[in-house]
Amino acid sequence: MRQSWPGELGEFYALHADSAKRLAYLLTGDKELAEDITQDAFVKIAGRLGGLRNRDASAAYLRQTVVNLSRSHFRRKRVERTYLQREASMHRTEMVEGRDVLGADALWNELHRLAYRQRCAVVLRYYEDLSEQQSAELLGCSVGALKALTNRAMEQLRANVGSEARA
Amino acid sequence: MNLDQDVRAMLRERADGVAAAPVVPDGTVRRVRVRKALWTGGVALGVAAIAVAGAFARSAMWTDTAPVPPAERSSRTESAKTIVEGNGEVHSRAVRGNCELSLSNCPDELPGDHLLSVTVSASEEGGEVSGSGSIEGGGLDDSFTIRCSKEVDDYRSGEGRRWGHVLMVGGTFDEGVRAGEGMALVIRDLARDRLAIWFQESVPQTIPGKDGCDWMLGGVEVRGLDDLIYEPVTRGNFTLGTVPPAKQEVAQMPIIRQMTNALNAKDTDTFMDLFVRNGWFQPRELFLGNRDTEGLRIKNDPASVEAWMAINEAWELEAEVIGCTSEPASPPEWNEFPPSRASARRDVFVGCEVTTRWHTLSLEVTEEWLYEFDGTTLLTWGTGLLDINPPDRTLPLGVDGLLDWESWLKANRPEDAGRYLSSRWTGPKRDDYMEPPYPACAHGGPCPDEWIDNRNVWDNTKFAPFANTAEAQWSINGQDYAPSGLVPYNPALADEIEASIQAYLAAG
Repeated sequence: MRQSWPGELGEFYALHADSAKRLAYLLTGDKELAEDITQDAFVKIAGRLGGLRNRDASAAYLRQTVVNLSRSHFRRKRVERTYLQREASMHRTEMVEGRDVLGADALWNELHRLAYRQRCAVVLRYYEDLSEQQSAELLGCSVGALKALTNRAMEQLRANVGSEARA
Repeated sequence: MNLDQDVRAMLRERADGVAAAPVVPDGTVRRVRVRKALWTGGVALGVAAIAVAGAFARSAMWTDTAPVPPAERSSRTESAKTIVEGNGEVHSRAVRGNCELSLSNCPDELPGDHLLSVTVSASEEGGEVSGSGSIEGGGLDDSFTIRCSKEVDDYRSGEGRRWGHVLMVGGTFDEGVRAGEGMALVIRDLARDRLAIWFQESVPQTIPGKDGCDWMLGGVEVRGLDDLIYEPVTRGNFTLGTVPPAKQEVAQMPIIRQMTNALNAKDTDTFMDLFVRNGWFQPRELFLGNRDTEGLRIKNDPASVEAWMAINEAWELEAEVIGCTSEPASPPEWNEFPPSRASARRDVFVGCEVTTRWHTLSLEVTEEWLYEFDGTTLLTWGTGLLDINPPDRTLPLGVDGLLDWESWLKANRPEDAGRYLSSRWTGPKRDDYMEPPYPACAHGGPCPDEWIDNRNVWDNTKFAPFANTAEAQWSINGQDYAPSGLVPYNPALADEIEASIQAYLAAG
């Protein structure tokens, strides 16, 4: 009988938890929510660690899970519960993390005004450094659609951050 | 400004300050434990399936004195009469059982009442058998899980009998409900290709809630669990789990009814007034002018709410709440970080099964409406799909029927199709990284619902085209929006579309 957790899970968690939370944070803009999503992702993936064809794919599977959870988080009760807290925390974050190099705060704010898939495309490209093919597969779209998502997102960032800076 | 570099730097700077809990939090371990127990047999468990095989006579095997249970259970007495014969077909390859369960003379259903009938739609794999069920009377697809413990190795490996912990589970919404458990004798008889589960103690606490029901199983009338166990019924009928739900009166029902009434009456003001000042809801549609990432914040964007209501009016949306269950907020599982997560609010989450009808489209589906309350004050509301083709619908079309109309339209009235129809989102790809948990899924067959919270894996696959926004963008009341894939059509053409659907229905 396989009873390898929590050892197996613990090892996997130690390797990937931080990166999962960082991705979730960049996608959601909220550290508390990111923590929830991270834990949810590990709960999901824990039952499947032994079922992965390719163990090397586990990190990718975790990334996929985080992206999926971030997308569907509004449907999840626990996340709903944190919504209003998130609102408050986001404002706090903006106040506290006041270091604004090259409009970083403005960029951050605008990033989270993007549609989810656009934001996801940006994060996967500029933070996760995934190839267009990898990002497209992760988002379940064609490479062309991925490019369009990214281009539209960057255009919107450019326009809005620029106008904010001018204002 | 080099935006690419700035974005990259900004993301890295933001991410640098983020770290997960240093070790797997206890809450996660607990959840993994539950999940493992249900999905991989990591904790000894099995299932509760109470089933039946009347085509073959009860052999002496079933009345043999059962083996002595494990030491820790040795004080319990055995009763050979409590053997539950399993339908061997269920556990043999490539054969599926059907459940015919009907109820009569039952007390009225109350919110929270469940009785699962079981149709095993998947085959066993790795000692695990799964299936899906439905709530009788509610017409709502539910899910349940059958798991035979890997510790019950005789069950897996061949003939024999072995004691194992048996768990009968069923559930509603995202939460599974434990119906009954206990030590059980699992007997595998390969010659007869059948399985029996002997419950040493198997009294789901909710059974009393169904006292007085006459259960029809395969044409044999039985009363109560004991009768169910003993009565031989027709081969091919797989039986039944009962799921217990504690009956509870949802205190928030008056608000829910008011909201539903306001929605049905298309009374925007009343609808908005029911929410707390900072409340919001997640419409199926995406309003392009809405800057709130989560949904429509009632007080911030009343114009979008008005437009949303106008969409509902165009499609003549009607909602009927079938039943609701509430779930008090549990303490945060990871409240140690950050401490600000702790909340003094008394959140209550209420999930309702709702029949939604778009009369203009002759479309009816079953949805899950989720509410968050602070006490009885409505904070948030959202919808999700549960059954896109409810079998007991009162309107002619489920989603499959609607898609058939679209095909008919393309074939017969291509010009109209070009005006009416719009592309739906294709949805995420099936997970490429893991072995499909169900053989049927691997071959394009139906994937059973999973009762535990990863159901969204399948929901994403099944419902993505209808739960996500379509590619089209329409405008109503001056508000631009992307419609949901469920009803992706332009409400300005509602009359034409209704006429077209009626013509399709008339054409048979």
